[in-house]
This record gives sequence, C-alpha cells and structure tokens, in this order.
Amino acid sequence: MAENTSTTATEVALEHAAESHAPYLKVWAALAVFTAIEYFYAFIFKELFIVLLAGLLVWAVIKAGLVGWFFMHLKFEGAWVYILLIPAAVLATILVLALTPDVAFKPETTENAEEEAVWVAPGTAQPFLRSSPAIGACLPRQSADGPSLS
Amino acid sequence: MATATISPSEASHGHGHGDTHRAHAPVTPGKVAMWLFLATEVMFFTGLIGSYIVLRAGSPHTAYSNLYKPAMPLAGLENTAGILIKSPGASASHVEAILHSSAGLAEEAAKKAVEEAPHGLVSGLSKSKAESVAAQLTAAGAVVEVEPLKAHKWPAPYDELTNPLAINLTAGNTFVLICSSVTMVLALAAIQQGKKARCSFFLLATVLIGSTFLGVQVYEYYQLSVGHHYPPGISATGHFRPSVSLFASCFFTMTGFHGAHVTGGVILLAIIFIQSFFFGAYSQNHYAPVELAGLYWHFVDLVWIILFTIVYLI
Repeated sequence: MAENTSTTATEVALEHAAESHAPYLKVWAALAVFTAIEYFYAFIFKELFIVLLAGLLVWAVIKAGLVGWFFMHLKFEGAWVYILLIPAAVLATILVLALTPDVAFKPETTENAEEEAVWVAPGTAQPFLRSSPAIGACLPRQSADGPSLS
Repeated sequence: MATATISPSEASHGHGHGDTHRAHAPVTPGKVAMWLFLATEVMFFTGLIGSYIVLRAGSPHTAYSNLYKPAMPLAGLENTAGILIKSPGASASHVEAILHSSAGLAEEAAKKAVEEAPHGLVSGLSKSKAESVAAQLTAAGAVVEVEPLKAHKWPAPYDELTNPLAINLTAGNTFVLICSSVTMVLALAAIQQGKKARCSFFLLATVLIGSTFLGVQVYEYYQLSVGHHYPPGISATGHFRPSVSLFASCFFTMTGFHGAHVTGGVILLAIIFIQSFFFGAYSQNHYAPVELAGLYWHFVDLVWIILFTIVYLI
C-alpha cells in the first residue's frame, strides 16, 4: 500500500513530527480521570434521572471527543472527514426522531390500558411534568392503593 | 511512490496553513475508505443505540418489578409484598420450616429462597401476611426486609432486584479498553518516528489488552447467563439470557455486536503485529496499515465509551 501523496517530503516529515508527538499520555490521564468522574457521578446521582442523563452524556461526549480528536487524529485531518461523519450523525438523529412517535409515545388505548396506565400510590409526589394522554385514550387509572411508581 | 512537482510555497498555499501545529495528514485512498467504513459503523451502532432509546422510552410503566418476572401483568397484584431474605441467620433449616408452614412455600422453593441470600425473595404474599412472616423470621434470627411491590419502566442501575449488571467490573473494563487505545496510538507514533521495535511492542500490548477486555466480557456473559442465579425481578428462569426480557435482549444485542467488532479488531491487529514483528513490514515511509487499523480500534473504543454509559449507567 504505497502512499500517494501530493505533498513534498518536508511537508510529510512535518506532519509525522506533529502527529507522533501529540500529548498522548496526557490524554490518557484525562480519559482515566473522566472515567472515574463518570463512575462516581453515576453512583451519586442514580436516583435523579434527568441530572444523571445530562451529566453522563456530557462526560461521555468529552471522552469520545478526546479519543476522536487526539487518537483518531481528527486534529490533524482535513475537513473532508466531516463530510462523511456529519451525514451519518444526521441520519442517526433522524432515525430516533422518526421512531419516537410510534415506539416511545405509544398512545394508550382500551386494549393496552393496563400496560400504559400509571399506577400512583396515594400521597406520593407527582412529577411536575406529566405527559398528556393521547387523543381518544382512556385517562390513566388511579388505583386507590396501587404500587408506588419508581 | 509518486511525488508531484509542487513548490513548497504552492503546497502551503494549497493547504492554507502556515503553522506546523495544524499540519494536514495526507489524504490517501486507504484513509478515505477507512473513514467511509467508520461512517457506516456509526450508522450501525446508532441504529442499535437509537432503537434502545425508543424501546426504553416506550416501555410500559409496569414492565419490570422488584417481585415478579419482567413483563408480568401486575393487575390485581398491587397489594402484594415480598420478603427479601438478606441472611438466614444461625439456623437456615428453621427459617426454611417457617417459610414452608407460614408462607406456604413448597420445601424446594423454601430451600432455594434461603440459599439465595442476600437476594432470596419470597413473593406473592399479601402485605399483612408478609409482615407477620417477616416478624417470625426475624425472631428466628434471620435478617429480612418486607418489600412492597414497586413497578419500573426499566431496570435501574445498581438496583439488585431488577438489574443484574456488574457496573464496577465493567467500569474497570472500560478503562482497560481505553488503555489499549493508548498503546495503539503509541504504536503509530513509534512507526511514524521510524522505531520499528517500539511499534511492534505497542502493537502486541494492544492485542493483549484488547484480549483482556474480551476475556472480561466473556466472563461477564458467563456469570449472567449461567453462573449466577438472579431474583425473579430480573428473570423468570433465574438466569439472565437474551430471551428473559426486552432489557436482556437489548443488552446482549448491543454488547454482543460490540464484542464481535472487538474480536475482529483483535484478529486484525494480531495480523499486523505479525507482519511488523516477524517481517518488518512497516517503516517511517510505509505505515498505512498500522494507521488504518488504529482508526478502527479507536472507533471500537469510542463506541464502547458511549455504550457503557448508556447501557450500564443510565
């Protein structure tokens, strides 16, 4: 696999030098630190879902970014790489958005009322943001002493 | 190797950068091909992760409970409770006898519940009965807790009655895979500086550390599907296998496909190591296979970082 480069020998040498002396061990230390942060963050906030989700996504994106930028050499790569990556990311987002109405927000109907009903124990705190029932659906069943929702 | 006759000033104009810090790597067909493949891999894994997200969001509110098997209809069971046996105390047989007589368990079931402490679970009792049996067991020296029925949309991390995943072990394994990524990039850096032996060394290190990651994954799969026995909130059969719940299905599909990718990467890197060490195939002027295999390996690590976060921690 011979390299077909249109740059001069000096340019190539400069690129080798820049890439091969990137701060890999520092990035390794940073990744170790962020892994530890992620682990303890998940343990501390395991009950608070939104806080957990937001924080963990931040740490995961930072770690993924470090791997991509330094190890995969995106720092040294031209802009052409993003022409490949961005459409893939767009398609990924569209996939989730397209599936959400049918899979994530299934309307509650008479057939699946048992499944979709939210069982609430008396006296428990209600979530501030409640999803509204779908048009034409049964209202959620409020059981007098049903199991508590977690 | 073809060299175009471009003068240095033209070349630097073409790249548009004067400083050496932001030097552009040469754009070879191999590199374009590998990045294109990685873009398709992005679509593959986001397909899996995206499906996981919508399936989880659409999971019924009573799909998982602490007392009954996944997807069991809980209508009519709202007032039931269970007894969690944390320790049988001094006399296990006495505890079994109480379970048999007061809770109405068959002898086999009573024995099993006691054996599985600290996660032994007796379910299907009414609240008052659960409390009276628990009082009897405590009097007999066992450490028990009454568990009221709690329904969840999805198994929560660290919840031992619904979620069997070993987060501590896998967090360590995540760090192991990150280390293999570091050795991989150090191998590339070495051959970019012409250091063949150092490159071979780091390639071998990457293969070994990657294999360690796979070994831990296999161990975890074994413990989940064969080795451990889990309470009913995790699996009707007691073993965590792809068919026991949607959560199990998703878990094994996502980590299984990732494991298959890691396996492919380890084989590829082993071949490249052999070429490097035994045949001295790479040099400062020819190291593209090392770089391209490295790109694949880093991608596999990146996917795991995201997978671990989404499947294990959230």
